[in-house]
Amino acid sequence: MVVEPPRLVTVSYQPRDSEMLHVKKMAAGMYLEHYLDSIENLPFELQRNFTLMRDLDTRTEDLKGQIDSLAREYTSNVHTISPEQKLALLRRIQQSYGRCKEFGDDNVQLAMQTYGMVDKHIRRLDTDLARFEADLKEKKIESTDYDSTSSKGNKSELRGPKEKKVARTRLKAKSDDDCSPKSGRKKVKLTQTPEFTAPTVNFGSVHPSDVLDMPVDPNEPTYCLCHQVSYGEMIGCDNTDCSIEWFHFACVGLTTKPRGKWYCPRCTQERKKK
Amino acid sequence: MRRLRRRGCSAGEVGLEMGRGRGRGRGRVSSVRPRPPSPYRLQLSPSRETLTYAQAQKMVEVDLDGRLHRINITDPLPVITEDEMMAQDIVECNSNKENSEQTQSRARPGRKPPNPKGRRRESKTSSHLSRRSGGQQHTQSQTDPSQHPSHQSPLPEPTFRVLDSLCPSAAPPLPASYYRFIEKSGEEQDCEAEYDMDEEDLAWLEMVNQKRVSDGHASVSPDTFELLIDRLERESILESRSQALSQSAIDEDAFCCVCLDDECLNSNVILFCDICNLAVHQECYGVPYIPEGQWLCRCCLQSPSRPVDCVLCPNRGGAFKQTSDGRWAHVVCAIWIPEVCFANTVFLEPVEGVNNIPPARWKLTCHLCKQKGWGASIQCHKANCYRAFHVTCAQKAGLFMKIDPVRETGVNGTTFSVKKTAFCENHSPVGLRRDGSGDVEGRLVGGRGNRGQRSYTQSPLALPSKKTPKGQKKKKGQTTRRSAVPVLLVPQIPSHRLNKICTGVAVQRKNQFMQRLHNYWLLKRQSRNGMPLIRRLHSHLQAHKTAEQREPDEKLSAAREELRYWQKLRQDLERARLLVELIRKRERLKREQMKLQQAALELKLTPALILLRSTLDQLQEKDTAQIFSQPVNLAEVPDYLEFISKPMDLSSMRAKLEAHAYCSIADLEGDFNLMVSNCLRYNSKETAFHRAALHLREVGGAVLRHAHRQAQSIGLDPSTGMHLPDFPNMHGFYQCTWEDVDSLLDPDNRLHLSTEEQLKALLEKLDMVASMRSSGGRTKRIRLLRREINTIGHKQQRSQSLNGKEEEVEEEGEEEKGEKGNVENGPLTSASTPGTDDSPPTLEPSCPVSSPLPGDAPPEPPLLGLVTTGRRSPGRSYKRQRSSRSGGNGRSDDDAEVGETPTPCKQEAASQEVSPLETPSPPINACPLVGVGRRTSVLFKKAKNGARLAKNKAAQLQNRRTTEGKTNGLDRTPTIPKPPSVTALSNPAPPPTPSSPSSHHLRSRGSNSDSEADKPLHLVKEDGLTNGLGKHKEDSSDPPSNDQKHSAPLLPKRSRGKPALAKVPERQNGGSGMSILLPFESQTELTPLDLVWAKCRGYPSYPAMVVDPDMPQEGLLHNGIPIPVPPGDVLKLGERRQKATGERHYLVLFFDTKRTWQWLPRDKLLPMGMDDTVDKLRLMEGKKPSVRKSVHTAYDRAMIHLNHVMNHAKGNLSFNPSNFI
Repeated sequence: MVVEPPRLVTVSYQPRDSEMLHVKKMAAGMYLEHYLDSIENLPFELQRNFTLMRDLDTRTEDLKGQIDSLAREYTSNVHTISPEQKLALLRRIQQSYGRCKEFGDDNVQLAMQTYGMVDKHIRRLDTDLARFEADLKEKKIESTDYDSTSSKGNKSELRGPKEKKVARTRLKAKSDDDCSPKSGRKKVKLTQTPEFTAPTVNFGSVHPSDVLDMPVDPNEPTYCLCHQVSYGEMIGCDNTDCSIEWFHFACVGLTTKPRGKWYCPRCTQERKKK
Repeated sequence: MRRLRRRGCSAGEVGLEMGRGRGRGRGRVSSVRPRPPSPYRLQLSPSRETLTYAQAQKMVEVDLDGRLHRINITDPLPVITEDEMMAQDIVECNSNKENSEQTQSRARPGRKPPNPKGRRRESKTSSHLSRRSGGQQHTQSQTDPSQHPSHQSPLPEPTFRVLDSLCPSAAPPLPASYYRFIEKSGEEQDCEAEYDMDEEDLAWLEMVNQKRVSDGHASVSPDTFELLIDRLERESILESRSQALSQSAIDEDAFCCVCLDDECLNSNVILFCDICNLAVHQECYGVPYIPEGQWLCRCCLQSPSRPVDCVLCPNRGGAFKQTSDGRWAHVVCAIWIPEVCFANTVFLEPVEGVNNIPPARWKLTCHLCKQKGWGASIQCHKANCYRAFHVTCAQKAGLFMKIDPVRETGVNGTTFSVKKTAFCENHSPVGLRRDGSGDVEGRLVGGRGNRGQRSYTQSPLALPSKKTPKGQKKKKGQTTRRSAVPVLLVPQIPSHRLNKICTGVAVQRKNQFMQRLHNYWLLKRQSRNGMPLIRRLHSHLQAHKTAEQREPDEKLSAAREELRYWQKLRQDLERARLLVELIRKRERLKREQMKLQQAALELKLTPALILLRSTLDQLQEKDTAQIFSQPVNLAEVPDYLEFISKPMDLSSMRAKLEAHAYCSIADLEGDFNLMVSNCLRYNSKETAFHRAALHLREVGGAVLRHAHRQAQSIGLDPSTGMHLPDFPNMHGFYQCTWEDVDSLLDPDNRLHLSTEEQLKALLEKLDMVASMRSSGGRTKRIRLLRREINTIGHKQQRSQSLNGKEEEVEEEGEEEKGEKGNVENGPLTSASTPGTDDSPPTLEPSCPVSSPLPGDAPPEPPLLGLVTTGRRSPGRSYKRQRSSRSGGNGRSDDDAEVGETPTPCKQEAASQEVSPLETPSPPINACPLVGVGRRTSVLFKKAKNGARLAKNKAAQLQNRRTTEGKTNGLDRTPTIPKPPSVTALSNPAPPPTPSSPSSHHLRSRGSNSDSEADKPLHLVKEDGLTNGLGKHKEDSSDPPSNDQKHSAPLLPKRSRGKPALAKVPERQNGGSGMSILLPFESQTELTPLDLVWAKCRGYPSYPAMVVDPDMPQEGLLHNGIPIPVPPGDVLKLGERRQKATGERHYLVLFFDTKRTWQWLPRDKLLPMGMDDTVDKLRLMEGKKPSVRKSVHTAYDRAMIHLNHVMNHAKGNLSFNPSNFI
């Protein structure tokens, strides 16, 4: 059973320089500039993590090759070797597998950490953006009545986009603490859209849906029993080994966040069995 | 002048004319005029809707380059050369300013060109006019010249002279490329002043400059003046645009203000005036074609600055048209007032017939606005209702007004004729009175009060002092402007804007000058009815509105840009997050995959190990008490090794397993058996360990068998513990059918097999059947298989005991007994244990107990072996000899049959018809079969027992007899022991009397007998008390007719082990002796708690229950159902009566409402519930209906009681299987 080493996707994220300069010239808000500084490191960090993961993967593959050869040795010699030898062989296989598992765990850990990193940036950007938009709104109010009258006119234009607002809000601010699953995961993930959209609603011709209505990524991870992308409120199964992890409230028949530990239907069954 | 203008006007522009004069110049015949030099036929029409119907009939419209041209059909079309075309085009370029041009020219008729600019203007105007006159030529060729006394053409006569000196110089050569017109961009246009001064401006400027000069300031140049005016214009345009924008925000729910409908069809759209935002349907306002570019309502087009008042009503706002005499009227008013009509029904203008309105109509008082003499009103269409109202007032009030348009095609083309109905609020059709939303057909204008209200305001003229119009004006955006002072139409320019405007201009005393200029500008605008001074801006207003957002505020756009950038960044980050999330999921999956891979490899390399491991796990699970999980602690039991040479336990088995010491299931099984046998050997039978070991052996066996089968089907190589190279052919274990099972169940089919083999086969089948889907056949067969297995196990044990292992067997039997005793009830245990056996505390010392001692046991087993082996054994013949009665034969056959193929009894169980003979046999006969399944067998029997409770009713008699026989056989006449404990009662346990003999037998006979003894005990369980009672009765009263007695006493003399057998013939006797036909046969004994038909003298048989007179005084429970306690006097009575008659009497409790008691001899009692027909007979016995009814109710009661009892018995049942499994 030879498994292809999973391809590693390296994300290189580099904000366009021209834009960045442009934005800097604007000096719209100090916080945004700080943000740019902070995000500068992100690509490198991602790179580092992914290289690490790649390393681990290659090592895992090596081990798998060893295991295969050991297994072959075992099968070919099984009639001749003594039980002790057999035992030793099997033990070696087992040990190799143990190391493989360790690598796997490390990889998962790394992925979680990376996720947390990106997520952290996104959260920060969101709050900054919200502030920025609030500022903009203020500015607009300050500006002359000529502007205000024209913005009045804009309001009617905004009517169209309003429908779009109903569009699915897909961003979720989930698993911010996935990187530290052991230290009490947060149970309920809210999509962060409310905070995010609110300020944008009234702003000029930039529709809030522009951000949220990104083209649906066909590769977007799916969750829940329904195998859909995440939306709305999600709840995480408290079983760390749960294969699904996140569930839509509606799919598991929840309306509010339950108290205490919550296990998904599958894990509940499993636990009952035990 | 006006007239002149009118004449000079083309007919097509009549509608455009602001003039108050008659607009009906068409149709007049005018003198033929010379054709203008450039006779372009294509006449540009400023807007489409200006044609009357008659004109439209004569026109051909051509749409060229987005412009509409009309050609009169009567005109010949001349050939026009290209040069001419160009000349026309030039003219048209300048003819953009139709509407206002006229006013302008009217206002300044005798204008002289004061400066070059003015001249330019002049030439424009003149060319324009010339065009006009040209147009007039063909459209109004018939105009009467007499009507227009003044000269027709203001055109200057061309005067020219030929310059001889001038020789035309050669024109500079044209460049090779074309000239291209590049429209100036907005910024460029903004930079230069578009405004051209006119003489008014010059005059004003002159005056101002004079003043300034006199004040010692520098004069203002005309250029500066033009620039400033231009700026002012721009500002006003922007201002008005923003106003218009704010107005157009409600477009969605706009409604036509003529019909108050918001329906919008493709053919009949709602148009909005670009200035006042008036909303009208095309049809309602007479706009057959939607013009390109802007559309203005008549009001805005012709009276842009002055609000118009309707001649027909006091309300303002809404859709107006001009009347033929130049006044204004609402379209609705014109529609509704009968005398008024439209001259052109397509364009719905002008309004005609205002003069035809009779004075009476003018005098009507509108009951809505209460105004008299203002406008013309209509009246309610209801006959005899004279309420009058203005049309617009009615709309405002939401009265019912309905128009059914009727299109009539006449000679003149399509015309509208309409059927109009309007009602006052008192007469509006029901259901539409206040909610007019239900208008499906036609134009129903009822109940749209709010809409109507929004559309109109009262004209200020109409209410001079009544109300302040401002209150109303506030609400209505569009009318605010209109009804207010005309100045408002000229947008106010905020002062800060003014300041901004003049920043770039260097003028001394700027503020003062700006103020003046502004005022001048305002006045000028007003004088021109608010028309903008720069036409370009005005005409582009519409385009500006849609295309260009607004002058982009730099800061804002930059901010927006920035925001967009951040949003982009956000999107990128989001994408990155998604990617990482996917990676995370992938890593998790990889980890899972790794684990699976490991498991797979393990399975591949060491399949045997896995199987063994899972088997061991299962075994460990079975060891619920964890007795075997750890090695025996030698510190606790130091002598363990003396008995056990090879200790074994599950943990060491596991250790061996992990060390690959086991190669096959057989190895594991060996150790398992070793472990169990160790336990069995070391621990005495009474201990829990011993029992646990037995249990484990049983369940573990199943597990191991299963594992064996699995190993076989998988095809494991025992030497390597790996899969065999070839896939083993399926053994078809799971394919066997009921037939296989049934055939195996037949003992003849497995005669060739040894007992062990038989056992094995049966166990396999059992496993197989158990693994099948549950069904009726399955449970039945499982039961049969178990029974069979038990039989065989029994046989095995017997043979073992025959081989001299009696000791052990007996021990086991004892052990089982104890176990069973625990399960069953206390007294039994105590009676059965060897120690207490001799003198059970319950036995009366007076009764000589000759219970067999343990020591007596050894001789017994062979006997028992004879019994069970039944057919072939001498015991059988012996039995036959014993059974003096007929049926013994059948009985023994029956016995054997039932034992081996107990299907018949199943059937009996199923069928309700129970012959007394057969019913008792299954339980009793089945008993001996059970030898192996200790606990289970016991429970199993119990279950069966319970299931057959109904049968047992019948069986009770026999059972009782059996036990009685035993008792007799033992020469035991025990008095009833002290009342059993409540628990014993609730689970009606056999009193010691019957149990003790059986227990003796048990012990003496070893394992074999014990199971046999169990059965009767359990079966009799229910009637245990009865037995006791019966015995007691018998003993005490010495029942006279008891033929069993004769045979029974013999039995014990022969052998003590016999009684159990002896019972059989007796039972049969009883069974055969009793028949339905002989209901009162005294032979059938009745046991307490039996239900009977009791026959009292003078009364039909009545349902009753036999009650033990000696029952405990504290009451007793029959399967959980409380049984009433007989009162003392009743008991005394019974004693007396029995003494008197010398006959045994039964105490019965009637099922009447009072639950009365009675003592009755046996012949007055007939068992109830045995046979439906008997019961029915009894039910019919009563002669009076009332009596019959009472018997019926009592019978029902009895049945209910029976049901209760049965259900409780079943309740016991239901919990038993759980133990059993």
